[in-house]
Amino acid sequence: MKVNRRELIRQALLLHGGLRLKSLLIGVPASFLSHRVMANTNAKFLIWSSSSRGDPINCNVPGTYGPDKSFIQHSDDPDFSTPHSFMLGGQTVEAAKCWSNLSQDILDNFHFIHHRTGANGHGEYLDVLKLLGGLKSSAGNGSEMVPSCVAQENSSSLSTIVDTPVVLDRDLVTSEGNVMPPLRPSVLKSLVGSGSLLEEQNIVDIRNQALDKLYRDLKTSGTKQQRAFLDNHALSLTQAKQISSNLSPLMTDIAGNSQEDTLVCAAAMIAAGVTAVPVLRLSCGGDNHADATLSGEVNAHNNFITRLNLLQAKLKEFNIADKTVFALSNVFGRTLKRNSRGGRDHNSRHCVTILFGANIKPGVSGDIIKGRRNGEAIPFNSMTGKAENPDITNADSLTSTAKTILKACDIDEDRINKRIPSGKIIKNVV
Amino acid sequence: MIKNLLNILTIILSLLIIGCIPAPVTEDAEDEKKEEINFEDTEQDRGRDNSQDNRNRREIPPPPPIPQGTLFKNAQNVLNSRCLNCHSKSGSLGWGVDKNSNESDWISKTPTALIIEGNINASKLTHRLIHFPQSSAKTNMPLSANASTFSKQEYLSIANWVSSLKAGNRNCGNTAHSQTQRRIRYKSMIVPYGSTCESENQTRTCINGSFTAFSGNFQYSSCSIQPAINCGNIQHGQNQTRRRYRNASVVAPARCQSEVQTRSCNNGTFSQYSGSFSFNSCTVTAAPVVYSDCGAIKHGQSETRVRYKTPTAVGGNCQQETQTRMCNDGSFTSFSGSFEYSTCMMTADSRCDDMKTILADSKNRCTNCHNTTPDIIGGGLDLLSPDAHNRLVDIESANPNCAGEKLIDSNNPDNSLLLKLVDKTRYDSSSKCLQMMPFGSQGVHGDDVKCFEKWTNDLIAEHTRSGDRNIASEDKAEPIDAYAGVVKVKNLVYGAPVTNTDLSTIVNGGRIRQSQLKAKVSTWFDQANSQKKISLLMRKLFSLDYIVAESNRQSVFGRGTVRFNNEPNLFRTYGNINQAMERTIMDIINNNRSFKETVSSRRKLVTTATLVAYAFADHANEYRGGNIRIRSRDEFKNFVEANLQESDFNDWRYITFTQASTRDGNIRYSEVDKIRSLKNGDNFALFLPRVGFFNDLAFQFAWPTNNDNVFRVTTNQALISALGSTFTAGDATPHGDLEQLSTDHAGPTTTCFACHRLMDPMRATFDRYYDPNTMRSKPQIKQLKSHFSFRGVNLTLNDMDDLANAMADHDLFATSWVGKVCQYANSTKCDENTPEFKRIVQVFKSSNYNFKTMFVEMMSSPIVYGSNSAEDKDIKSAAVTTISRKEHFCSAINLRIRRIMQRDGLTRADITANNARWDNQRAGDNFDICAINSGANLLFTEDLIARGATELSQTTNPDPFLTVGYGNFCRSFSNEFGNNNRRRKNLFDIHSGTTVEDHLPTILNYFLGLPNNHPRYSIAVNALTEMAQSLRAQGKNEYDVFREIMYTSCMTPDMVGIGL
Repeated sequence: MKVNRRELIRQALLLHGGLRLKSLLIGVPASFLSHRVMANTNAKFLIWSSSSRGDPINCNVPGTYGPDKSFIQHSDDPDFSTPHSFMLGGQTVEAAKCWSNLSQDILDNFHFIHHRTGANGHGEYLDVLKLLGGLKSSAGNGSEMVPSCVAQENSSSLSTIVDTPVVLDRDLVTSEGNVMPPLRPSVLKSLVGSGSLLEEQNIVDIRNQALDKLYRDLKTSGTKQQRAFLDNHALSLTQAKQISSNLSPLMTDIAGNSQEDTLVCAAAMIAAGVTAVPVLRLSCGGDNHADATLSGEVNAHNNFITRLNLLQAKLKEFNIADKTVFALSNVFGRTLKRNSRGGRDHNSRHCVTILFGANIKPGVSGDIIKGRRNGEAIPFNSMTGKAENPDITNADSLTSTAKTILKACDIDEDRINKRIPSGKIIKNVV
Repeated sequence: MIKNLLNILTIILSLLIIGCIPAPVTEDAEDEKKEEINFEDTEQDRGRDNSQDNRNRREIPPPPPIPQGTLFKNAQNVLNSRCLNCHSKSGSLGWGVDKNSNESDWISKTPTALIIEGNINASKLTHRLIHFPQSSAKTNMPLSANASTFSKQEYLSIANWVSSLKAGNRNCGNTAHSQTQRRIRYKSMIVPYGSTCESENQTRTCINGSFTAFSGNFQYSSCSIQPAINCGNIQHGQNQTRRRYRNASVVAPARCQSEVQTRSCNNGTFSQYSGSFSFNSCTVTAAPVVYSDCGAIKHGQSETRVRYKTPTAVGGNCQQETQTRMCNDGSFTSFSGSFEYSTCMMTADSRCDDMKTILADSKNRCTNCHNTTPDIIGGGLDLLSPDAHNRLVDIESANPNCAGEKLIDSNNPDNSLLLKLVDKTRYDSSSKCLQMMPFGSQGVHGDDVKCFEKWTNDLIAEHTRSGDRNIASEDKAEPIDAYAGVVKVKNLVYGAPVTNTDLSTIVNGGRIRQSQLKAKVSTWFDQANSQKKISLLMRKLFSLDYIVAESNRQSVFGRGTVRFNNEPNLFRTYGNINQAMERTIMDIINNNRSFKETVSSRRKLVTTATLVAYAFADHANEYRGGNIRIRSRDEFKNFVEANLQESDFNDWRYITFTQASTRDGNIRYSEVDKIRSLKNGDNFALFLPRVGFFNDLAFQFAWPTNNDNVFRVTTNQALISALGSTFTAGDATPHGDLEQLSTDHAGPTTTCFACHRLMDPMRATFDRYYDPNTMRSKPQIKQLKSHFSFRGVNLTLNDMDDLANAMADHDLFATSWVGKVCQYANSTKCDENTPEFKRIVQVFKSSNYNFKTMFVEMMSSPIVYGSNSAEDKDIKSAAVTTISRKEHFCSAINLRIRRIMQRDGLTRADITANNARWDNQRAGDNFDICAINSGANLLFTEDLIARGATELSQTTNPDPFLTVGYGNFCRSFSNEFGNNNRRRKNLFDIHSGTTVEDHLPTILNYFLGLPNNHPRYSIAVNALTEMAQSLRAQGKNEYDVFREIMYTSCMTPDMVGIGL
């Protein structure tokens, strides 16, 4: 029997997609079943949070309190103005109280990295995601974004439906130069739940036969671009159906487009095997130039901690906590000293990336000094995270952080070094 | 008719009776039958019209019936029946005659005295007949007991005949004595086609029982005309055709000319062929081989060079050899020899071997910018990561100032931009397209130039060994066919389906006729749907469409978030503000004014509401004693809600915003009556310099600044919109006064200085007038030195108009706008260095920056339609196939469905049960069908302006989530238009019992955009027909079938893609 292209695609996806049906029958999320498919890999999913607005998450973490950090200004809220001590990786650390409210299983695998992005403007967001040109494309002759790189490297071993990130917010993300469409959870829920794409197979076959016939000539005589478009179009039809089938049962808890809904959607994306990297934007205060009392920053921090706990619960519910890494890294941090309006401005010299989940060692890497203006990150040692014997320079701190994220996702080190030539993996983290 | 026939028969019968018609003899008639030619069809003839043969056959008329000789015949009848039974010819009583014997035989051959001519009494024949008067016989004939006696009539028949006989006057059978007999005889039995049968009437006379000989000479009783002869397989009278060519061969690009010639068959012989061309075939041969030269080296000549064995020779002599290579048709052969290095440095040490150290040397500072993370200040050039040769050798500079310059030129290392920028000697003799590096220096330190030369040679050698090549230089686009080109352009420009007329007008011989396409594009451009598309494009390209933070409006007007139901006038005022610049731009375009006015003009289309808002913004900051008095956040809202009327939002007219020297003395926002009375063309004085798009409130809402940023974003986005370019560290333009340089961040010793020395003096122009935190006016102009230093233009700025003019007059203005339109069409950044691109830039300039002229030129350029590969070999970005993003997909689907409805006289209310779903814009019949599924609509991607990005961000590839969007939309769409609710009309009137097949032409022509003349039209008809049949076989009713066909059509690559 002659097997056409569509059938090949369908069969290729059947391995993962079939699990969906099975999971429905036995009432177990597909992710449980998909573990069998992924049993031979340690590759991890990545939930990537990033914001072009910059975020004051760098201002209240471990390393921002202490006698030598008096230049750092916090909110007058007592939970922020006064440091709160808690255990992180067997060490006592001081931070705003909210951080201690993370569930213990999160803290057991939670790390703060102080570093620099070198960026000072919102417009540099895309550059930062590309590590300022430091992350090479898979072909080696262009640049790529961190979430897209992880998706490309891990989609095969994780048997995901797409090999690109899935963007659940409005900030622009590209993969191989192609802009990823931003998705909203409520829209996605309604569309995949509509059943529009879940049709009887015989109807689909009839339609596909018509499309195959309609474009048969173009598939042979068209240009390379036209042929590629037709193939991608056919593939996307199959993928769309697969996504609808896999994702719909896991979206029931989504009520709107809140950050909680976005987190649930991200977890569902992983559990359904849709993507290796859902992308979202969580905030601890955002672009808070005019946050006169930093009340917005305080509220956002507290909400952020609650949301991380929710995410962890959802990951555990879907039984994917041990296969998922969460990373948050923004275009820049905010000034540690408040501006004339009480808020915080852009800080190209200090930023904090947080990581938790599989493979992550608890702790803090890097530190802050007063510097010339508003506090800046300092070089540190990759093995200890301390300032002594630094081998992570300020210039390399962004690429090193990214390399560490890739390592946490269990990407082969040779591949990591090929994709990101500079910097080094921070062994204190992973 | 019948009556006439009866008359004719009567006449013929009469003639026969009176003997006027000669009666041919019986045997002649028999001959004629025998000689009749068989005309049965041959195998070849079967099936064709044989009327020609029938015409050729000469019909020989049958002889008329011959009347019997009356007396003999009557007697003979009696004699035969009554006598010859016994008196047979051969019997003992026989009379020597039989029933066939003629009269003469009866007279001459019967026994003596049986018949005595003229004497019945003497004739024994009558003696024994009962009615013979003198009968003496004892017994009368016949003797047989069973036979009846002769009747009197029978007797009289015999008696009359015998009595009539007279000696010497015997009849000849039925022909009486002395009478003549006639016949027709022919000269030939058969004559050739085209001849006639020659005949003659012959006569003979009966003389005493014997005929004389017939007169005349012709002997054939019949004659036939031969049928015409065929010419082989070609039938007589038919034509044979052939194609002949004017020449046996032509030289490209000439084309073979041919004609169809005809000859006809005439009775086995062909006529001469028509026409005059004589060659059986024609071949197009390549142009005469004109060998290309290799630059200055002619074809067949050679050049030489010196190469060294090693790039360096430490403490020894450099080994060299002279190598030769030949120019062969534009390409050189490989150089002879094996030495690789163009230079050889005799070095006393191996310091140059550690190039990383040289690059990082604090005096050279190369890797401060060109490190592994080079994007922000390194121009994207990474000198450190492995495989640097791939990023340098034969790679053209990404900086537009140095377009075409190779970073390292493997054919001429001395010409490498890398060396020219770090070596003072080379730099001085170069075009100085960038600043010398390291910035602020006179080149790299000391003898390090030699290390750079060695590194250059090393990288060339490594590149040669690796076999890597510049991928970009080989990335030529394949040409798409003419049909796809037309479909692409019309979809992009207009959204309407391509028609047969379009194709027949534009496509000729599989090629696009550019002039025809251009004329069409010009027409399409003026259509309402196109205007909406252009207007939307302008909104994006002028950065008027970025997601507006509500706080940005709040800083000026007190309230950011507004709802129509709560603050209708403020809501509409914001709407007017958003539309004002876009309308102004479209008015400039459609009135053929210089597009530069978008940047430099103070004349804008505004409403009274817009003017009230601008007047309010002009006075929004009330300084008292050095402190900002924050107004009530509801002051503006309360005012517009109480004082503006409906007409204030619709009275669009041109007003020129003149520059007021102070904030006082101008019309205040509260003076609505004065504002309302301003007429088209009037002036309106404002303190804030509302010149061009970049001082428009819509732009400023989109790109807010603050105390930290101090108009850097405003300046940068203005440059991006106007000139498609941003600040780069390599820009060699000298800077102006650095009074406004942010020294704490970007002092002259920092790497940031390279950009900030250009940016900070420019942004000061805004700082003269605006408060950065609020974008409200300062109390008076702040005297700051500002400068425009950008990409080769260096101007001191006295005011905002100077900045506007600096951008509008910049050479990049034309290039960038041609590039923007090109990217809009091809979804990729276009190569600005191709001759075609440069030609369009020149057209734009020559037309006094007429946007439509440029747009039409680009859309009708092979850069976009991309099918004339022979002419367009230098066009790298042609014919990109992408998904149809929202601005194209929704525009097309709205227009196409609307056309079907217009054709069929349907209104929206006829079809939909829920008008509101189509009408989220409250746009009346300009409904938005994409709103039919608001969720799916949100998944459609569109061209985006990202902050700081100089190009549009565009989704190009089919994506499963997009497909989820398209799929859901198309399902809603097909359900809506294929509804089975008989209370509503159906788009294709399926209610009336028609089938889907009846509507396929409409679906394909109107919706899918495949006219009948499109090569895929018939394929599509077949595919969809088979689909419909298969669906019915699955038990689907006609509604279901229709919906599936519409869904499938909606989801085809033709609908969701562009460039197929």
